[in-house]
Amino acid sequence: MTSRGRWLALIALAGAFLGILRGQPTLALMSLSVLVWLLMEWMTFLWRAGFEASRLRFERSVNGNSSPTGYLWAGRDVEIEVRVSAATGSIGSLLLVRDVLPENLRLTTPTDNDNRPAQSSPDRNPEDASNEILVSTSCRSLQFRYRAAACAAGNVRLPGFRLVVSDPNGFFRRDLFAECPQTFRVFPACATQVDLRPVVKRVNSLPQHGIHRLQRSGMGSELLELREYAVGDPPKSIAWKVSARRDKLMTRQYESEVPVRIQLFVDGSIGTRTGGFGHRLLDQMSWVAASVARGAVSVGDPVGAMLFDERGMTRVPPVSGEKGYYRILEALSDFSVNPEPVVDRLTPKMLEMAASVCNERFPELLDPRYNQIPFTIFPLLPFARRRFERRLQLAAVMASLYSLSAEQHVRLIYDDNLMALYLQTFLTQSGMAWIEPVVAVRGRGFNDGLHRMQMLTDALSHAVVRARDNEVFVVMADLLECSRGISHLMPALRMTLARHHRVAVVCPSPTFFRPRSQPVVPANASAEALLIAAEQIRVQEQARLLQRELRRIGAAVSFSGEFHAVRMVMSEIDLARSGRLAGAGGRRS
Amino acid sequence: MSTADNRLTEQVRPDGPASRRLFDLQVALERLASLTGFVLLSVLLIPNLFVQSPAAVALQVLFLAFVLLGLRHWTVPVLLVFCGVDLFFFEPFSRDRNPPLQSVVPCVVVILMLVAASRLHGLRLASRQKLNRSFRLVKQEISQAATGEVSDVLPKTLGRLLRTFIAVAMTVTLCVVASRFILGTLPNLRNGIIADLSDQETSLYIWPGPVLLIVLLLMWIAISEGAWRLQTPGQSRLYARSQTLKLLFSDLRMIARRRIKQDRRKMQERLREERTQARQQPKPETVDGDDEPQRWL
Repeated sequence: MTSRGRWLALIALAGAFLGILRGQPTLALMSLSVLVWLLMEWMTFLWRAGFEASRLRFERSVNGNSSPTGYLWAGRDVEIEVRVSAATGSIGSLLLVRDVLPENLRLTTPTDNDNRPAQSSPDRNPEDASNEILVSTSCRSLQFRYRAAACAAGNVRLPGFRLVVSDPNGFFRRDLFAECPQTFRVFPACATQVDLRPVVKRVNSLPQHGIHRLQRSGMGSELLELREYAVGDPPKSIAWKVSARRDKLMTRQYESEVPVRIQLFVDGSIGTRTGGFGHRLLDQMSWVAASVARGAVSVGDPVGAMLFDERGMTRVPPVSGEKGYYRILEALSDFSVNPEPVVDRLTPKMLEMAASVCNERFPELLDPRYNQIPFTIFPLLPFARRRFERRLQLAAVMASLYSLSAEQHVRLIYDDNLMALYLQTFLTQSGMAWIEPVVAVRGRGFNDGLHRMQMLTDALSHAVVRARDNEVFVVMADLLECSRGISHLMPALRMTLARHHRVAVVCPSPTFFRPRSQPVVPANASAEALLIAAEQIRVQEQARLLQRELRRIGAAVSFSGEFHAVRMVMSEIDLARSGRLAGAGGRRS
Repeated sequence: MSTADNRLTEQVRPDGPASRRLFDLQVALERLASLTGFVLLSVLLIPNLFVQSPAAVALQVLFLAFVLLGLRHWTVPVLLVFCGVDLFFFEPFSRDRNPPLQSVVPCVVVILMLVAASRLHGLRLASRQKLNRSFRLVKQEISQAATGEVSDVLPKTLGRLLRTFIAVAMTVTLCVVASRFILGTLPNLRNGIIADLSDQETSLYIWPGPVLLIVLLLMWIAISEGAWRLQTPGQSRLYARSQTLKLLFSDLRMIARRRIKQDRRKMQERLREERTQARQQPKPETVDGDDEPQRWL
């Protein structure tokens, strides 16, 4: 019963009592009628919440697929259709049905992908884009549809439906949850531009293993075109006769027949996984990796991957073709799923978030009729007591979900570390991103700088051992935050370059864009603007330092997770294919 | 999906599933009907309130203010209090336990007004929409019907609305009739009537409503039993767990606190040992002096 119902019942009860006591039949009749009306509403509500709600059948289809598993693409809209029917009888009103969305899935409207603003249509109903429906009249079945998009690669689990059963007058209300799980693997998004390649090279046939028409990779026998000489072209490719005729140096460009193998190194350490889905550094790296893989596979180049984080290293051997591309995507998708974070301290924010998720997913377990609180004298202060009671309720839910013993249940109430462990696990399993309630915000580069360098060094060494000649190593790692420890990585990079491989380093930035070269000027004199400016200056300085170090040894660098990084990598692949040492003008990026 | 798209794709078929559009229209029409009913019944009621009071006009204006306030806020208890106060002060004493038939109609009117106000507010909360949107939606549907766009949603919704109205009116009437019957079985504690009920020989009061009490008790038991049997396995587990915890809480709390203390002590000892070992070992050479120590999350 809601507070409204209680107030009305109280007043009606008082009226009935006074009417009977004072012998005022009309007063008694009116008040008693209100009470009887409330009683009838309550009985109807009980019937609906008890019998009708338990007999509801839910069916959800995502892009027409209603099976429990499937595939989605990050950033692409999916149409979700929900059909609710009653096994027996009909669905009564008022019933609010909401499809519970995980954090990695966001609602979209049709205009999200258009250039037009969302307010362009005056008749647009904002409720049409909603993932919920209010059943206001009885019916046998109902359906609604909405659009959503996955924010980042990984997985998405649609757990079920939140039901709110209430009477039309708002006197009674019960929250329920109906399970209807569907799990989808989310592939990373990739660049949608058709032409990823700066140099004309469309068709490339993949020869059988060991069959090459030239001894040296990257220089085919078929003449593709003659062009002006550019710095970095090998002297043997100069067409002397033509150069003499035209009085300027001309270079023969051959069609490459040997595919260039590309190795993608993706860093998945803790620092790259913090932040909301779609805003993590790992999401930028996945996008660049998927785009590079798409561009390479489209011309027949095999692509492999080395995915490394604190858990270890996963190697995907280089494979070409669509099958290889999807294998890379699957590996990236699995790699993007956040593991359970390491135990951290219990914070009020974490408790709040867990209570909110519990309320959304397990409302029936928070019902005080079932989740009863043992009596304690302390704490005495009302606010502290409320917090303590909420913690008792949460502990009971955790103990029930994870089948803990009674002793562990009580330990959850008094042991902050144990509670933090279970809440973190619960939040991660509920699909929450690694943001502050799940992992505490710490100093950047403080935790895993050297360790990240070591992991990357190991991965490079492993790849070099297995590599053939003239491969392209695309290193995607958050090196900006540990640029001072770059010297740990240098030996591995030098060894890679010494083996005639090309190295392209992509360092994603939290803002998704390259650090500007112009001097930073604060927008205004506020503390926030000054802090932003200071952060920009810090990133600029680190980027400059890192760029200088890496270019000095001959590696190409890009400080962004945007299209520029993809183009830089594709240029490196083209250079590897053509056999040239550097791009036109001698600059690498 | 836009409304225009909905029109094309979510046409209600005779046996097809109900759509968002149908529900929206139903809510809009029901809200407008509730609003109309609330205002009309209030206007009907106002001249009959506080008629015998010297400050009748002032009280009626105050009641009207609360009615107007009720269009946006929850004022149903206040309106009921107004009606109750009027009856409390100005209704004459009656020896008849059964309320007269004339009093049934005002009761039905008052409760219908309360129902209309409650529905208006309840639907607003449930739909989370402003009243303007309901007006716009209904207007849109009517204009469509006027231009000849054939849609069976509006007639269906109007039919459902009529059925809802009849059901509400019948329920309220039934409630009043049932209350009148209940009042007839209850004792009136006013002295004269209590004297009628007393047994002269034994000087004990005779309770006229045991059947009513038994019916209420049986209803309560049936509803409670039904509610308990409908609980999910998770709820049953949680209930059993919480009951166990309530019984053994003090003992378990003592055990848990001791173990936490023991664990902390062990942890401190281990940290102390580690520190001692670290002091004894020689310092490793650092490659970069500026690097901060490695620490895991």
